[in-house]
Amino acid sequence: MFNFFDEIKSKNQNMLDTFQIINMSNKILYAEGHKGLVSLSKELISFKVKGGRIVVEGEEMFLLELTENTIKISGKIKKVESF
Amino acid sequence: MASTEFKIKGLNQEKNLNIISKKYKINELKRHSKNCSSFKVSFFQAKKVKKLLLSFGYEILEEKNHGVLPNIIKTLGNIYILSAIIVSFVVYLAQSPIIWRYELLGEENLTQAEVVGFVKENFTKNKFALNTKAVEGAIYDNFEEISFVSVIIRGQTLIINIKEKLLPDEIYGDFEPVIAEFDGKVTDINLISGTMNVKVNEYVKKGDVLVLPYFLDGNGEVNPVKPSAEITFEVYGEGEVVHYDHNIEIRRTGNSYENREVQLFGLTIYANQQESNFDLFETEEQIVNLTNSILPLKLKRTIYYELEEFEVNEIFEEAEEKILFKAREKALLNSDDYAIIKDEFYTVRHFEGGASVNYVIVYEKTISIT
Repeated sequence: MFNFFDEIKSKNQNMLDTFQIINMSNKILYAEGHKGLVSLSKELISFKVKGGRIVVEGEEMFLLELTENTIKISGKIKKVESF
Repeated sequence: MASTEFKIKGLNQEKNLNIISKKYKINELKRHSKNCSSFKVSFFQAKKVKKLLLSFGYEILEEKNHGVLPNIIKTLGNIYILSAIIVSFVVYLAQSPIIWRYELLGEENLTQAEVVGFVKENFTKNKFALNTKAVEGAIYDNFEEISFVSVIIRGQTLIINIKEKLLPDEIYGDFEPVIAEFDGKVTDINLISGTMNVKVNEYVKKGDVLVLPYFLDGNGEVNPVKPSAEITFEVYGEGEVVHYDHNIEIRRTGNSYENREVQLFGLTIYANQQESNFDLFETEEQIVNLTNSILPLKLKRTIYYELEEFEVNEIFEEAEEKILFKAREKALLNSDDYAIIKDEFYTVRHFEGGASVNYVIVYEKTISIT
């Protein structure tokens, strides 16, 4: 039996494994598809993504939200780097 | 939204928070120091999160609930408060169908005790089982004085609103007979209701029954009625003066003196008194308040008047006119004001050394009892 979602998953596996990051005015950074929090401090937050790591630098930062797939950082964001 | 905030202390927090976040959503995660951080989770997941944190070996420094729901649950968690609420609720439920109060409106001759007593006696107190239409019907049937009745239940009060018929007074209570308030002779009777107890030309004394509060019907049955009548009397005002041919009279000579005392709480604190040298005297006392302040100082004045005796010799025939005038004055004083005088007469009775005069004024008096 044809299953729409299974079909999408099988044909677009690469697309689902990717991540995306949205930075809103350097005040909130929203990331989908993270693979886990690596470090957390007021000045530096880093988390794993497929094929690397994202490092966010700033001031008075904290995690507004942390779930299995999403991460929402709030604070004064100065720099976002991908390694 | 209800949430629980944890403040934890321990190592390797990132790794373990990742594990927690796979199952539960973490909010407001803040790192305070290297080994200390705080975060919020849903109030309903807090127990499981706490269990996980403890299993990771973290020290929970603080656990705080936010929102209204946790406070309600915490309050309800207190066994005493919960018991009180449950007991109150049960008591409320148990008493809520009961009518506690009865109110009667519009009564004039009927009393609250009569109507309410009847309802209490004949109907249930359960407001759900009580048929107000049936109560209305029963009240209407049992009280002939009522022309309109409505019964409503408001809360736990049964309100009975009635309107009474305009019935004659005979329906209610006992009636008192009409009693004579003075002596006299009955000259005219106009009976309106009741039964006369006296006849025309009959002499009555104060306290005699004039009209009885009932009438006898054709079958000889006694029917109570409010007595009502208009009765005219011939009333006699009397005055008597006794005259002595030889009489000792006492009069003031005109000499007097005064003693004064200042009193406080009835005790004399100052007195200016002199010895009396009058053989015969009479006194007059006056008390005057000296101050109207807290101290009740009073001045007591005692005035002594000297008296003297003198002999009066006057036979009745010489003083007759004066004595008759005095006797008439007394008779007028004993008569009603503005009375229309029908007749007047006097009798003189002589005795040894004097005579007495009895003066009578005859006038009419009409009383109207309704």
